[in-house]
Amino acid sequence: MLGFILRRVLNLVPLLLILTVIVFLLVEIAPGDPAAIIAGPDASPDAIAAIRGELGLDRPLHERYLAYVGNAIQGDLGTSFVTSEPVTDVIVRRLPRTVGLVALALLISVIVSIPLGLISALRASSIADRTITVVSSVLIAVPPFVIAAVLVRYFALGGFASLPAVGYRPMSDGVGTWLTFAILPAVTIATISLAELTRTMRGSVIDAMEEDYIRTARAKGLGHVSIVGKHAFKNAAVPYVTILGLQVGRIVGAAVIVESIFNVTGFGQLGVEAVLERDLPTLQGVVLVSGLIVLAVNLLVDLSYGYLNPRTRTR
Amino acid sequence: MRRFTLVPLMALMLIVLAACGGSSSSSDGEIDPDGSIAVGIVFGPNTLDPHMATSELAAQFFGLWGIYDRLFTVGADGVVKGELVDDWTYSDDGNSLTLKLREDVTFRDDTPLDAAAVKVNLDRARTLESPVIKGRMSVIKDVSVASPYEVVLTLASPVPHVPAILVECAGFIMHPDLVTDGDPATETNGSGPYVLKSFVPGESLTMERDNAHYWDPEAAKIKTITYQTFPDQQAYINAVKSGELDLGRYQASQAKNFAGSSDLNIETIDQGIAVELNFNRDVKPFDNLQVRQAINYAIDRTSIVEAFFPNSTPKTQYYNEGRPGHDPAVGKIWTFDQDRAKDLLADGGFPNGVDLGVINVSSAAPPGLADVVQQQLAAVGIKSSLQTVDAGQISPQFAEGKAGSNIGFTVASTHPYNGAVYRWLVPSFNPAGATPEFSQILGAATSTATPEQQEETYKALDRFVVENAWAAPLVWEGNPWVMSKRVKGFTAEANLSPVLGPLDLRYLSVTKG
Repeated sequence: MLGFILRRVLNLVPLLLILTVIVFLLVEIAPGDPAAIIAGPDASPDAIAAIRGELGLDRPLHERYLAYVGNAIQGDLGTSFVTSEPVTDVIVRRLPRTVGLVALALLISVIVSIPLGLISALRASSIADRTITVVSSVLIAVPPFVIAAVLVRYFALGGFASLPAVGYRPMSDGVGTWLTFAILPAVTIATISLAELTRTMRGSVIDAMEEDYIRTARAKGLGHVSIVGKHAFKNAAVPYVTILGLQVGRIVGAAVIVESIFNVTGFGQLGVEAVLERDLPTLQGVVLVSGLIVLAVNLLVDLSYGYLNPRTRTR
Repeated sequence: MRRFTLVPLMALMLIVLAACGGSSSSSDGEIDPDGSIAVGIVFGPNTLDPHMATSELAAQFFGLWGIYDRLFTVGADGVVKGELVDDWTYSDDGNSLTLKLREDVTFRDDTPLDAAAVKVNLDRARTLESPVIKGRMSVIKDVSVASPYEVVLTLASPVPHVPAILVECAGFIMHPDLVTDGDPATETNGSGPYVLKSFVPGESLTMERDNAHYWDPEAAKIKTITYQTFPDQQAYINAVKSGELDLGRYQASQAKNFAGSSDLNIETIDQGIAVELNFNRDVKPFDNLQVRQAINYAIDRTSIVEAFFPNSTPKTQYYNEGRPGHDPAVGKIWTFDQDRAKDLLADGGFPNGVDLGVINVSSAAPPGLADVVQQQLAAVGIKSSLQTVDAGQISPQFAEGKAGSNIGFTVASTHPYNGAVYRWLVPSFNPAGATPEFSQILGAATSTATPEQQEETYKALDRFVVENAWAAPLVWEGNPWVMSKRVKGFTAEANLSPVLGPLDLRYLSVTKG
């Protein structure tokens, strides 16, 4: 197990290096001068040049990149061009907000998609199945910012409830307060994956129910609940978990838009701001941390296979 | 039996309903001395150091007005007046300015805010390698202490706008210890009625009243003020509509979002923010005077205001009505005249029209505005293509000198002289810079000139840039300030209103509930 994990971590290193090179190059060729953006519209050319020198932007690209990698290996992700804060501090401050929203969104997705998928599969072609399928299709088609606008209109600005339309409160302010602010953005994010997970569960369960071992289980006289819950569901969960793992990356990407709509100053927003402000150290930090998150999620998915499918444990 | 059950039930319902009803006494109109408000802003500064500010509006609005006192301010009439300065006089030759300070101001440790403290601050503002302030302070060659509460500024030339520069961030006075031994970027120590409680660069700032020794007993009626940034415009609008914010300043084009909001108050303020089509006269065909003039005649400003900017006015010159330099005759030069535009194009050597190339458009401009401008220009044979550029990058990109034009925002300044400097001598708004004739006209506005002579100079400057079509002004925005009904005392007559907006909230109060 440990060897397996170590191998996966080592595999990530070249990937992260390639990502950092790509980000460096993209920022370099993108229009806009970070020093000019930091200095503001009223700055003189001399002032902009001075800032460029302070930030080391007048050094050759390869020199800057190697210096960055050397520091990053030692845990120093640099200092934000814009706020002069250590990038690590900024990420530590912002990441928990996004993690909280994403975790809540995933929880909602799983809690809703599993029963809906099961119902849809076990009552295939029924009115319930067709309704769930249509709703899933609509949710896949509708962009998250449209869903956000509808939720805000009816659950924040009058209508069915008066939840906060914007903002975020940490869990240290109380779970209830945190949930009040997090629920609308989390539901918005959840809709992105909810539909696909529901359809995945439906398809997986239908496939599983047609397997020989299910016929054997019925022949042995096992009850329907036992057949579905103990046998079919566990096997159907393997593709479900795979899709769930893939959805995490998509959800984190969607969090960028949703955080902007609900003014949650989270990790996703940080990436957008770093791009717009040409804040290269912060952008690199966001890329590195995002890569580590993907690694962690993929690891969890792989480890879960062992639990769900004992045959994979011997490999 | 039924009646027996019904009557007590109805009585119970009535009692419950009565209990649910709000009290009409304590929550309506009673000022809350320990109240707090949340204020929104689109972007906030990344530093607390006033000398490192890159945006006057953002830095001042984001709490600095309450933490520090400044030397001068601007009244509702647009005229500079003293705040820490009681009186000021220029020397006869205009090469020095003497400031007499009020003598009742101290910092919280009872250190007097005196001439020595002012010198420490102004010397730092003059010499610190800052992106904006150092350049503006270059008009001051030296600062000396004449007496405990008298400061003498030796000027590089007899310019009239030095007090106006000290209305801006350069004029905020920090505790000398903070200047010499502290880090003004992350710490504060001022004489203002508020102290900093928390600051997250670019995100939020909270300040709390601490005015036991403050020289203005009427100031700081609100105990806690929290500022929050809202990069997304819709989120910003939703925040005040849902009650998460108590006060915010919006663009004129966003006023329709608040129509019919019965639980909000709206004050429209003309604070000198304008939308303009800026030209780079170093890039063809903007080097052609007739082309630039034709553009101005081709644009129907009235229809643009009606369509995109409610409660705003067309802009046809560079000094707003009621401010020095405003000339009604100059304002009549740019009329909507398509035939004249075509004639000018022909005179300029473009009888079959001209292609302007790419017009960069600020992402903050109202959707559709640039398309309308493009269509109006096309109607007289002026072709163009549009490219949206992030609002934070449009000015730095323009300053690089490669783009021919852009549609963006300009802001008023605290004085017509520095307004001319910031508008026409800064590459971000005018990459081609000034001409000798412009400089000669501006040079006549010295501190030794009489107010009438200065007025004539600004009018001449205004006429010069209009007749030479250095840009195509479009709109003076009427910015809606939207607030909850809890907020009391907000007025367009507040200090700084005509130049930065009523961002100094010292006399605001909030009601309970």
